[in-house]
Amino acid sequence: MKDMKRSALETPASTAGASIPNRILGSLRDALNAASRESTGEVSGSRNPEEPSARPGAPAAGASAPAALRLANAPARPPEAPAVAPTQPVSAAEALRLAKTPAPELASDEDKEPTTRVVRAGPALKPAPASAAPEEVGRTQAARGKPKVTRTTFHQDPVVGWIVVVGGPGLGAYRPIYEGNNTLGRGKGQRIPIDFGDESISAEEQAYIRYDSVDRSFLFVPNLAKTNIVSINNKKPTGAVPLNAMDVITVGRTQLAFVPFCGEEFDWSELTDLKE
Amino acid sequence: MAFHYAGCASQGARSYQEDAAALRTAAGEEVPIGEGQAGSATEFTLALADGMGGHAGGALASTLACRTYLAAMASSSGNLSARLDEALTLANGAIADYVAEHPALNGMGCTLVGAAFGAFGVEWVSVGDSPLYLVRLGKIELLNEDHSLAPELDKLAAAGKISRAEARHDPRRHFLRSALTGSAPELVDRPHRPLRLEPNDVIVLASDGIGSLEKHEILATVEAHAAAGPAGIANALMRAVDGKGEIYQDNTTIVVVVVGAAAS
Repeated sequence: MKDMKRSALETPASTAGASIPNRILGSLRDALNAASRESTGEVSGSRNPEEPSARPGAPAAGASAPAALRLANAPARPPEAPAVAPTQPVSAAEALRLAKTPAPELASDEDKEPTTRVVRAGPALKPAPASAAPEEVGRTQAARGKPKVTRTTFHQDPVVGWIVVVGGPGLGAYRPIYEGNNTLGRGKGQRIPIDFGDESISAEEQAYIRYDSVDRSFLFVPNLAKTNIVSINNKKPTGAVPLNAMDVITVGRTQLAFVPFCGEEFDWSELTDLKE
Repeated sequence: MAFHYAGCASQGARSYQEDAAALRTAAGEEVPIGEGQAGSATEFTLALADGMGGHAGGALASTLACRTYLAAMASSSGNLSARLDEALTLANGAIADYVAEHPALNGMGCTLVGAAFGAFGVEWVSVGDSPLYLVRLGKIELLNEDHSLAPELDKLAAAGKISRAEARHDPRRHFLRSALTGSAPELVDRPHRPLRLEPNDVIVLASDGIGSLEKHEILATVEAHAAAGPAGIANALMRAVDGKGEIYQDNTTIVVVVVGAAAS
């Protein structure tokens, strides 16, 4: 049923500024489904009979067109001006309305949703933490007073973001992205090894992900010397392109979502007590 | 009622062409559109598909879908909308069969618009985001539903949830909500009855590469070159797309049908 599929296209209430990721994440599933272009489900024969997919720019001269549009867009109301003089051809909008009006009932939709399936906001995905420290064996020491946190040297290359496998072999897994230039390929020696069994990814340097801690930006750079084409969302870049949160990278038959940690909000260089 | 048609195609900034378009007259003549072919007919079926799924798969899927669609339309008879639907099912089935034999091509698919023209006007089925426009009396209308995420984003913007600029530049605008991939498409657009055509109507069927142009730009271009006939209009539209100089300009295929004067 049409109604079951319909839902208001809602975003979380707090769309202002800070929660942009939520908005993006909300529709990720649909976006991914769309990106991988696997349509599931059955043919939905329903379509909206009354709404033309877009309106003409300005209601200019054409005598019957604005009236026809009003009719098309406000189907609940009884038609005010059904008499389109047959001496003149009807307007494009009216012709479309006629073609799309179901025979028995004149439009009765309470609301002019243009499609039967919409992107809806869902629960936000959380990136997995880089390494969930295994519980220390033995007694945990109680911390009293203001906990003293020391930062001296990095335990490992500092993480600046992650990629999460959202399609293909390795679904659900993630890989850290480190500062500077990261090689992405199937080989284990790659800084970002996508070694989950997708043989259509080049072993070495299929692409690079670069994080620049000076301007705090992520760049995605495809390696054009490799056979297989990589794409971001559904563009196929031929040069470096900026990466944004939740961009979907497709390499071979694997889809990777990008989750930044560093960026405008934070960079490791802000921790002044950090000593290299 | 005579129809005059012409088409052209461009790879844009891509190194390959994933669009396919062809036309089959009631007399059985098949015209691969896109290489500048033009002609006239009183009754014909037009099919246009925009492939996806990588270099090999996309071009294959769109060609396969177009060819199967037109062949199915040619060999069927009876109720027109049932024939259009059945041809769509067969085109989708052809993709499913091909993928079953060549698992490496899993994921290939395409949009498809199949449109039948005749004395009744035009009737179509559409899956995906290849637009079918009608230009009449100085107005332009998108006849088929856009199955990309663009309308959803525009709706968000209209509701004030996101800014218009955000909606306009969202990288997911071109994601498809429905496509022919072998499994049943989620959304299929079709009218309830044929749309009646009038002399001098201009129908533009294109792949989404034409999306570099705003609707009013398409209208202006069609109007300005109406006297040049379908080939003139199609070429002018293609020049307008090229003129935009989009860095990632997608493949673009444009087919223009002009309705001739009523038969006397």
